[in-house]
Amino acid sequence: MQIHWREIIRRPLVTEKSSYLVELYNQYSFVVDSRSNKMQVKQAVELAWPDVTVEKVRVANMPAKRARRWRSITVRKSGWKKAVVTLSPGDSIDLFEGV
Amino acid sequence: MTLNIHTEENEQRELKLTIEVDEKRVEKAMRQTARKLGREINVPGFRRGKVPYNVILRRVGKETLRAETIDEMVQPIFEEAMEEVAPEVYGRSTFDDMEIEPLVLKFTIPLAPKVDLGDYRELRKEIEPVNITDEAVTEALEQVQTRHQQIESVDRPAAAGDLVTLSGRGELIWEEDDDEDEDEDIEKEGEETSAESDDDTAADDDDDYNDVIFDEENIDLPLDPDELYLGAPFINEIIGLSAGDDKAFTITFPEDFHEKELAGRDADFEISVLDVKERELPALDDELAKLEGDYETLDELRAALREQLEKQAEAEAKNELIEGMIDDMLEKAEIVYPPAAVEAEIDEMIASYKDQVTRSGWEWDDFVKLQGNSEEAIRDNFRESAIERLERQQILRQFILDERLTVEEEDVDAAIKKRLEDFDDNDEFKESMRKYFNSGYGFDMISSEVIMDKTHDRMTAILTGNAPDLEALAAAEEAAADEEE
Repeated sequence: MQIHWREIIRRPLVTEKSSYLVELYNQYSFVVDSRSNKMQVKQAVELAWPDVTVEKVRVANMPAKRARRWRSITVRKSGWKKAVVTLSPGDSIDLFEGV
Repeated sequence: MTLNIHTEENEQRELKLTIEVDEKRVEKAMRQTARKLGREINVPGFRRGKVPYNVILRRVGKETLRAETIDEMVQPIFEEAMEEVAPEVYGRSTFDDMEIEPLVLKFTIPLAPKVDLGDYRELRKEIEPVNITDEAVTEALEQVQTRHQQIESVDRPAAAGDLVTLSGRGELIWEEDDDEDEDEDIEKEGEETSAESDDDTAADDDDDYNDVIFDEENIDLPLDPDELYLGAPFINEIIGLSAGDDKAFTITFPEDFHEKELAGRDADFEISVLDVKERELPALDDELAKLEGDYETLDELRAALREQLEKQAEAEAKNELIEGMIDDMLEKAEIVYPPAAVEAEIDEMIASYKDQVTRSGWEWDDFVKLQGNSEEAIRDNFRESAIERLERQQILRQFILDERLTVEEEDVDAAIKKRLEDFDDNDEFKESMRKYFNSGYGFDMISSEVIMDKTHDRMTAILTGNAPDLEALAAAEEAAADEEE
């Protein structure tokens, strides 16, 4: 399916866990379009940050969750796709840009 | 070393302190601040306190973080720099300016005043010995007599010097209409009456109170213009009256009357004399001496009075000599002090003034308002005397330093001993006094007394040209120090 590369990467995922991944394995996490696949993520990352090389992409579909709003009304939080991108050693991305 | 310190003294005894702080140190402090902040703020995706530095930096912004960090750094850095430079600080240091990146802090530190006394040792002055005249002693004796006077009712017309008991009323007359009382609301202070006596039973009729200058029942008045505030014209009217007499009269207060409100005014009085009393002074004899205290004979009393007067006069002369010498030195001396020293002096004066005001039952803020003043204005009022105080103080200090005057332990001991001589029969009291003088406030007091005594002695020596050579003094001091080692 054709999705423009700019629409593939929704936003970087900045959490404690993702911070450790950056530090230890040079892996960067993103929230990506649920319809995208590994190849598209790889292309999108390389287009967005031209001077990095993507070595590997892992994706995972994060499950939808129930969230409570107000007291008892439950709302469904939709699921999303997470992509963990491993860059070749020495490459780096400033993840927090535009957050 | 992480601080790069420049100091520069200006001509007003102020030290301009410029501190450049190493960037590494700032960075380290910023990380610390960020960590502290991380414990307080919520960042989604992170547990509290686990937020990495970069994330925080993004979130709060670099500028904010830096500013916050520097806020906290200023004080410790200042203290550190002061320790390194170790100037003699005098008064409050001020923070002038800073540059954020790289971090440069600028302070102004007031330094201890510099005093050059000049050739004060050339000052000469005739010192007049304290002289107590016989008249002064006689006067003192008269006071003793008055203290022991006998008062007795007599059945005769009042004469000058008597004590007269009377009741009555006196009112000022207004020039426009000689009709007394009724309605007059022209402003006129009522202080004269209210200030006069406590046993005034205050006739509170609706008469215009402001015109009443005298309204008393059963009051004893001395018929002596020096003692009675109503003065000679009033007394002259009373003289000659006997107990039971009533009299209405009008007097005119002289133009130069000490009570300005009354000067040149006319007043009506209506009084009745209740009693005439004679004041009988005891004879000047040995009996009086015994009455007065531990004296056997009149001569003894006289000698004691003379001694007392001499002591007083000596203390006064001593003070005068010191103050006078300071005046003279002030003319010769060159004093350089930072403006902050004056401010500090004013602070001190304000504090003691404030203390006075609060002790008399005022709220400081109310008091200031009542005066129609601001604290700023009060400060300005104090400025001149603060400068004088500061200068005199510095002169005295420098004099003591230059003359190598010191307070030694044995000096203090001697001074305490002298003080305690008078209480020779009360050992317990003596012991507690000794303790008092050997610690804290008492010690300060006695040592300042000692140093002032020494100052006086040395000043006297200088003024009469008998001062010891300073170099010789220094040499002797060194020798003594060597000996101790």
